Amino acid sequence: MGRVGRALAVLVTAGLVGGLSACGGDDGPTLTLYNAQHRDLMEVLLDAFTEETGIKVEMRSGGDAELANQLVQEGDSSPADVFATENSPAMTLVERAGGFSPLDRATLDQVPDQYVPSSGAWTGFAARSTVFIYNREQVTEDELPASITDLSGPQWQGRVGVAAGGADFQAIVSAVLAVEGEDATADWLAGLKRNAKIYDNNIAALRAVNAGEVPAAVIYHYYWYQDQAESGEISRNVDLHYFKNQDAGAFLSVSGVGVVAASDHQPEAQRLVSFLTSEAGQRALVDSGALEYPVSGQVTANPALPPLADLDAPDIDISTLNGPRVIELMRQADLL
Amino acid sequence: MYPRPLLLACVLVALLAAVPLFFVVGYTISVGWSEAWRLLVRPRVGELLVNTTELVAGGMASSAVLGTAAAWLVERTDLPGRRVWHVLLAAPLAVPAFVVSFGWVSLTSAAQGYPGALLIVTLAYYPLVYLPVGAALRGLDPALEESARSLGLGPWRTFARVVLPQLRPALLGGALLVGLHLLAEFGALQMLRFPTFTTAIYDQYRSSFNSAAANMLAGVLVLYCGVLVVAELGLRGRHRYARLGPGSSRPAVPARLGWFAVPALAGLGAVVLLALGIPLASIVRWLVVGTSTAFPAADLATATVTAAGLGLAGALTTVVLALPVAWLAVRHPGRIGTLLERSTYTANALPGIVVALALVTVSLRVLPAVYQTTALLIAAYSIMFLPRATVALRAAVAQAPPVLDDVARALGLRPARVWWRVTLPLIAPGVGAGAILVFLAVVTELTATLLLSPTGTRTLATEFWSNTNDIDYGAAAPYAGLMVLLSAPATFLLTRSARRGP
Amino acid sequence: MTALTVSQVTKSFGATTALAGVDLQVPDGTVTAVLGPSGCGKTTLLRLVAGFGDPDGGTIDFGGERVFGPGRSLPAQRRRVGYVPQEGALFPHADVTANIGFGLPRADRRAGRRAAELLDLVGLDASLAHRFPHQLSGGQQQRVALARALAPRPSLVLLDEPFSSLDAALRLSTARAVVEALRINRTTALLVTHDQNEALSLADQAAVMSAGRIVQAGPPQEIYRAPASPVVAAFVGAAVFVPAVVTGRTASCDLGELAVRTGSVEGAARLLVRPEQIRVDGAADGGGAAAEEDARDGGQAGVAALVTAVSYFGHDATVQLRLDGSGRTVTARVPGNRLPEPGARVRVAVDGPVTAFTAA
Repeated sequence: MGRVGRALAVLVTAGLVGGLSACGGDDGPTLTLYNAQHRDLMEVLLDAFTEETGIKVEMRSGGDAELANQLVQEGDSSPADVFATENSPAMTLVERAGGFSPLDRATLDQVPDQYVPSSGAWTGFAARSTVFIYNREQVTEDELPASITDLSGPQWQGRVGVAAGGADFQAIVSAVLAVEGEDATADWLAGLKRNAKIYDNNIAALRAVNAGEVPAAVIYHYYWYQDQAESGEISRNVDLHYFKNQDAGAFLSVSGVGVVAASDHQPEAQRLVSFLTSEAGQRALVDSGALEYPVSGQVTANPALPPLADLDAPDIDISTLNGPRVIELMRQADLL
Repeated sequence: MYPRPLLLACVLVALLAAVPLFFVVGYTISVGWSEAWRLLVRPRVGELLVNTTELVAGGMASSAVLGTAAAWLVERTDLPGRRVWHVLLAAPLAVPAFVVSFGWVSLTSAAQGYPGALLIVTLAYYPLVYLPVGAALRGLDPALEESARSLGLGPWRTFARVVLPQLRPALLGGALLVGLHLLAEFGALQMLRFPTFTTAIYDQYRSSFNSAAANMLAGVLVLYCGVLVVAELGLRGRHRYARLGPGSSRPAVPARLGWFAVPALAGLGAVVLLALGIPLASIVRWLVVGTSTAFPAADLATATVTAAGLGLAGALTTVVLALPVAWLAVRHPGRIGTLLERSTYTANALPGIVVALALVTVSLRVLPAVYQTTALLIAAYSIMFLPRATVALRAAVAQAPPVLDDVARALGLRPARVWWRVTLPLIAPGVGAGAILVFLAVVTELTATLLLSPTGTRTLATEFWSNTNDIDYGAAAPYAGLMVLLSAPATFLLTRSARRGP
Repeated sequence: MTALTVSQVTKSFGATTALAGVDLQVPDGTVTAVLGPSGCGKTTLLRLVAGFGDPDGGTIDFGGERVFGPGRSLPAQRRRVGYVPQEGALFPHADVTANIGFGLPRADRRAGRRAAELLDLVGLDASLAHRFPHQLSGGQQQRVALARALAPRPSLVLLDEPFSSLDAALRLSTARAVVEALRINRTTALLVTHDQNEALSLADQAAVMSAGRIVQAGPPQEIYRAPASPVVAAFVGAAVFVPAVVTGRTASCDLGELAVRTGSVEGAARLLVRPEQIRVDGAADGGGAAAEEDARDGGQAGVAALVTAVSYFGHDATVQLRLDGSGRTVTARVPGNRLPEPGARVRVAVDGPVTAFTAA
């Protein structure tokens, strides 16, 4: 016991020292960001923000839907100041629960209308395109689907991967719902239940396609571009196919950010959202290597990416995308 | 009969431990029958039920066989290097299941699916059978086996008819522990793409936070756990297994393996290689060759200190809460003591995610001040790991019979001095063992930590998980390695105290 | 001077009455054994004296000090009694020296001299001083337990079945060593046991307890020879009961005319004869006419009987006899060197006075 006792004493001391040092040095408010965006990307953006304004930001990471629902449940007690997502349905969910403060006019003016809901409760700050990826050994070009809705057909049985539990795919489903209507979406999901292999997230799906575990998958574009830019280790055998033609599968998803109504630091929170949509913030986004599309008209995307105009995305009002309904439909299809 | 402050303390602890269960049950009732029926009676739930059952049954059976065989070889045969084997066979306790999973999945995706999941959970959890069965074998009077042999039974029939029934409580207890762990296991199975109730609850949480669907699934899980616990109690029976009669038991004469030593050594070697070698080699490989390996020393240090600090605080709190319960159960046996003790086990059925969601809702409604504080996180750890501490403390309190209190008081010691000079020294090893068990669990806890910790808290487990999720195995590896390093000394102490026995 | 006085102490546990009004006096510097079958309440009595619980009624005094009575209950740690429980109950985390010194002030504990003294007193080798309890034999553990109890020089030591867990050979030597140590120290002791040999051989005073009461207390010889009732008689040793008619100091029964101890019994009675009082003479062997003549004679020569069985114990033996006249079977205890054969005809006589009880 003596030895254990001594070991415990050392650990206690270490814990106390660690805890104290974490508490020290408190000057000015520290913002709390509920962040569903990629942590690496957000760290880069926040560093730039802190450098410019001196305001520190703590991040609580999670998925779109979980953090959105958590915000709603927290209500007035929420410790969050700012909420940022990967996809817009989660923003809409919080907005409908009255969880956002209206954004400053100047902030909204920085962003083209198509990336802002008519309410002005939040704003887009990045965009990503849906893409069909396939293993070029296993899928020939003439087999490529014309529409994302084709994936429920028998020719894709066991041959397509989706990250059904993730917010990204759920946002894509919400686009299908917006474009095709409820009955067609329910049928399509039932087909996917038969056909699809379920992966934990887009990276896992990309890796599986590259390894030939599954011939094809639906993900967002930047996962492939990021890996190509780094090493190509998990995308070497994978090609991209954009649906275009305003197909639901050409859906351009908008990452949103907004100021939480319960925040005690409204001015600082507004500054963060303003920064993320400003030229400096958008430039930081492009330079981060995240390979998502900026939303500001003043900054051009990474040249490695195809221009947004070429992708011919469907014209969807982002404030209509319905997250909870999608979850319900996916539950009915036993995908969740 | 029952001292009042003690009883009050126990009731409070039991109530705390039952918060998640009350929450799940309350939620189920508030949802209403028709909605509950709609959420529960659907193919997806059937699928999960089949998967969960396959995994729990398979994992319990294979862990029981592997754990018992290994314990017999180490405790009762002339196998070369038995002391070394004992440490090696218990060592997988220091490697959390999701790290074993990581080791395999990052090598080959063939580990995914049922066979892989079964293999990996067996490798991760068989020590839960190996340790108690080994202890039982050490305590078994060899005269029983000798009597059986003299009555004409061969070695195999002696094992089946005499040894195995004596091992029953240890074996069933260990297997039950494996089953309960499997019901609540999340990280390892999520990585292996093998959906069970717990991973499905996590998916529900990811898509809608604290929803009716998640709580319905949790309700099924509670029932499932109840079935396991009751089945174990039923199978254990009411026999006495203690050695009868006076005199001390002789050490057993080890069985001679002869030529069988070769396959036995090969088998144990394979187990150690698969359970320990592969994960550790995988961690080292990713540390060395992983393309994305940066070595963020400051982040690693912070996460280590945070994990150790939380582990320590969790261990101390849990042991303090478990002490009155164990005390009441041992010193004042009776219906109330048993009931209170058992009620602290209920949280064992619930995965961390369910406990955490319940505490989120309850704290927001009742005590918003503790929301997202370390205090609430520690409370969650205590609820989840109270049974481990209670089991260890029960044994500890039994080591301090009340007659020693009487003697000390007759020698003129005040009750407080009796506690300090007699009770505490006697229960200290058991308290230490309980604290170590909780510490190990907290250091590798994932889901409750993610949900309840103060914003900005990063532990080894959460950082490991976040990097693994991004398939950034190189960045995940140092966190996995640190978790193993942090767990190893505690595990070693635990196996030593298990070896010495009571 | 009386070291311990217990009067009218009662105690119940729920519906069970453990003590139904116990009176007991323990003289200073003596060993008193409380003897009784298990469940008679003797351990309860001991625990109440020690202060591990409060009686429902009655008083307990140590010398002149009241430790329990109406409105007063001295806690156990202030009664300063030595307590030796069953199986010793040594502290497993402390070595022999630390166990013995446990109740001493810190300074004395450090010095360790008292521990050495006591080790010597209870007859243990000094080399055991730093062993741990699990490294000691059962007898050694008991002696250490006594040394621990004696270390703070208590005026009263309580021993609860201290030797019952030891095997026969060890029991005797350990018990002797313990009592020796108590006598040297002139310590008053109260010993609880269910073993009559232990009680009779060790104690200055024996108190027989039955159903929550002390039914007889006195010197062991008196208890054995002149028990207050047939129950006490049977409990403290082997007994042969024979119906008889008492006239004055003489009883007439199947064993002949026997001398009776002073008592008030007159007329129909039950006689207590201890087996060792029955003398067996081999003279009746042969079964000839002269022997039968003798047998019919009776008188000092005793009555004729047939040996039906013999149990041999080495130092002595018991002999089953069937008396010719009545066919009654009695058991005699005889020295091991003078044994009749089964089937032999013998003459049986009774030595010394016997005790008479009124016939039930």
